[in-house]
Amino acid sequence: MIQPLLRLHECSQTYDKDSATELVVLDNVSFEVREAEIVGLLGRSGSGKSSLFKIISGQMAPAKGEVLWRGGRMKGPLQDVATVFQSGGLFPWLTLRQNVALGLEARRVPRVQREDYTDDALEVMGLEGYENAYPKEVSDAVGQRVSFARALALRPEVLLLDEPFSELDMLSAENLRTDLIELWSERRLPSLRAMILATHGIEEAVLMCDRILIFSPSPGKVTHEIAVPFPHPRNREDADFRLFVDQIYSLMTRRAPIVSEVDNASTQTLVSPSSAQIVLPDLPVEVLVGLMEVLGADPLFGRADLPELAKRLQMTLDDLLAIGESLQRLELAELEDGDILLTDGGRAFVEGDGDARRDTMRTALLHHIPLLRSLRSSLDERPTHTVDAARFRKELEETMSPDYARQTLSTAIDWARYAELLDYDEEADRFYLDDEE
Amino acid sequence: MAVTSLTLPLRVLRRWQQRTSVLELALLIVFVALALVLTPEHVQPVHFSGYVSDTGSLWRNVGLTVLRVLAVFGLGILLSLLLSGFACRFRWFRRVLIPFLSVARAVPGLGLIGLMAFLLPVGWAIVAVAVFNMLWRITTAIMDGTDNVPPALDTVARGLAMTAWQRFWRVSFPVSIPLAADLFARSVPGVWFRLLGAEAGLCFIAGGHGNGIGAYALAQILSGHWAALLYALLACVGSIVFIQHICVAPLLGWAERYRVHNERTDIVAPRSWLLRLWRNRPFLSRLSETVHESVAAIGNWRLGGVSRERSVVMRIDRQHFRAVIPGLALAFFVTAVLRRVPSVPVRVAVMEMGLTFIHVAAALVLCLLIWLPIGLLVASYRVKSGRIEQVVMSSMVLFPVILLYPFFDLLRLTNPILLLCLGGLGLYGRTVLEAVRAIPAPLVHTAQGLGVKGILLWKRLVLPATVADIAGGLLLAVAPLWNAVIIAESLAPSGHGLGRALVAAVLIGDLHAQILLLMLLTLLSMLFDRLILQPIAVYAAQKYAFR
Repeated sequence: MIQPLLRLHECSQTYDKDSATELVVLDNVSFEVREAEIVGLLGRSGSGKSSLFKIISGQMAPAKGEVLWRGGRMKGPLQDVATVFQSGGLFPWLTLRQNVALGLEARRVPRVQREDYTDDALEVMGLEGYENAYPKEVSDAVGQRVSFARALALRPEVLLLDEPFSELDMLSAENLRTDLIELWSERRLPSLRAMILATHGIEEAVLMCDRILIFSPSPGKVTHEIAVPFPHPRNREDADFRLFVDQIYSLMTRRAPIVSEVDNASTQTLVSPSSAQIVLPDLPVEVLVGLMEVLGADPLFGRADLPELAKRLQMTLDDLLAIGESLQRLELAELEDGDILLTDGGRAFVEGDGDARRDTMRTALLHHIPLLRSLRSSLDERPTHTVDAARFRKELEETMSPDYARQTLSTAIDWARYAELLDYDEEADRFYLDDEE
Repeated sequence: MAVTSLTLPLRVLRRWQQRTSVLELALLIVFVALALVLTPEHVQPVHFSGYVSDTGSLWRNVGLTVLRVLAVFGLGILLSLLLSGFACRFRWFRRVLIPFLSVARAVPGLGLIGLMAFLLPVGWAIVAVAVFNMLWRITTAIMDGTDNVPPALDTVARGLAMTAWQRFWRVSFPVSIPLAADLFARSVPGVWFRLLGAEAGLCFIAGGHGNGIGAYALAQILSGHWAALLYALLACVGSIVFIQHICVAPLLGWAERYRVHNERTDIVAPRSWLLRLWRNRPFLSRLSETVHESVAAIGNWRLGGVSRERSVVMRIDRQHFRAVIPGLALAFFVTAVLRRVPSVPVRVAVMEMGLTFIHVAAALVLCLLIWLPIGLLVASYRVKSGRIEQVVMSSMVLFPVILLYPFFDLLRLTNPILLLCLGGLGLYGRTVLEAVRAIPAPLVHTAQGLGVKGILLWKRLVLPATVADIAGGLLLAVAPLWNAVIIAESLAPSGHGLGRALVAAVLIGDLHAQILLLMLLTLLSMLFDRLILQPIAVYAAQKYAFR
């Protein structure tokens, strides 16, 4: 039997807050990466893909489980793994050439060899002529090519791609993807044995990967493993390709996520009772309202196919999915087999006038957002009808990272203001009820 | 708040200065207690005959002062790199250094003159006094850089398996360069003030022996050679301009290369003819590259291991640890004071503290009263910034007002409030004018379109849009006053205040009184800053911040 390059065995990662609670970001993740394959990790934000990459590259040890590299237990950062990051992360004070050579310098590679590796990486990524430019002088697309070159200059055996195309415009991303796949297919990256692509783009995953692992969010765990049956180069417009993408969408928007009861039980033991709080996305309420109006209007009449709707609204499917999930949480819409449909509450909202809409939204928020329910009840109970925001911020931070807590609170305030559920005084950092309430 | 030159330091101030903690006070009293224990109570009192022995020619003194300034710059940069590098390597040191920096920045360096004269040879004492406040500012900036590496760069550095040493030299330090250069440039006027003050003061303490422009000027004042004093003043201005052109401006221009994208993009990068010349000469350019490569080579040493994250753990405040330290510090302080009973009665010290507070507060109010109407007028008539105005404002900021004090003394204008106001006037004025001109154009156009003018314009646009900088400017203006107060109060015939008492203690050689008075001055500076100015500045910045 051929030994896999990399093997993760029941890896878990937790976010320690204090001695009382901990947040699970990865839960019992197991998979293998074999030679000559591109593996896709497909999941939404919060599914622990970045943490997983840190574990794979050896920057972080898993809280539980083990990582095996060529059969041996990994004990520290791996020399044979390089990462390309979402933002590029170019050092603005270094020329592009110096940026590419940085990793080699950090490894103390001798100068002559360093120059050779850097030249090769620049050439393979088509960056000749840009060597002496500074990052601020080149486009994002060229910047991301440099980021690829920097990783490839290290001659890694496994290349970790952490959403490297997500910050590029559509054409540049497509161009870079195609170039990368060509280089891979033509074996022009001799040291490279495998690539792992983290993405939230279904099409991107199907276009590039040989095998896709679908991750569920909060905590991140593998729910499905799918082999992609198409040879490279792949055609997005091919009917089979479209069907395959739609099937994955259906899989990801199924109402009941495929998680066994045993898995559920193990998660419950790790998460504290106060973790009933949920992370709210950074979505203004206008976007939710806008989508419901589009769905409720002619010609959709309450139901739409997600990919078609995304095309119609000129949005990426992933952005649309995030809005759909928020509406689903509020029970104003449902995601079902790749479609989005308005619920009765959603229809009532669309058909109602300003007051009715506010009432519907208020009911939805009180029923489905625990933070707002708890906030409102605190405000109602107190004679002054005011309460410190710090208390709730702290409570949120017990179950999520400070950044997510800030985002959740900010989104909750925005949604609650729309529904006239409560108000917030920024200077005093307090929630309060209007006199009319 | 509009984006002005104050914006960046305010950001840093918020992170670094709002830490008035018991730990800081504990550090202050521990250092004071240590100083009390380690120094003799008295040293030789000053025997000054009122005559300065021949200080040599003016040019020799100018040369010496310029060399000292260069030594101060070099020493400031080297020591701050050493401190912050050490802090990066050893966490325990970092834990001590952060509150220490907060306290050290509040100590008026000029007040250390008596202690430095006791500890060091005269030349080094002058440099030590001059470098004192600059050192802490640059260190703060570098530490700030290590704390605020953009996440994208930090992720890459970790991804490339850089060691802590490599991360400091290749990532954190370069990130901190723009801010460090900015704070360095802001420290330069203070360096000149303390340097000239120390040269004159140490000449005094040394019984009339000394050199440098400060000592030369003192000699001319005492012998009544006003023309020679004027030459000294002009030579000093020439030296300041020279240093500004060969050191400060090129440094600021060079530092721009290290600025991370999207940060203060609307600020015009400083220009330097020397830097341009340097970059255009192949030999000099190659020299730069060699230096750069050498620094990079040092930064590439793989010292220490690659830290591996175990899990994402939140920082836990060690409250119990923080509770024990102040108690021990206080006990140590009380023991030290009881063993060495201070010659300054507590009642007198508190009274002097109150008077110094009044002097500094009144000087700031005077600055506000002078510049606020000018700012409002500039906003109303949309007066554009001209070359002459820039030169005047830069001169006001850079010129060490200590050189003007003799002339004010001659004119019997020695009220400490007036003399102090002179020290902060330039800095505050520049802040107010920059703030007024940084009001976003769309808001100005909207106000014009709506026909808003006069007092309504001030009330609804100019003041709200600039209040953050107007309040924050006080923080900038107050910094040089704590050094200036020592001289200003000494010149006043009424003769009160902590500054005056400190100079009196230096003259009689009472080291312990100097230490305690300096502690009180530091405490006053910290409390004034933390309890009055910072809350105002932070409130204004939060309430009137543009989104």
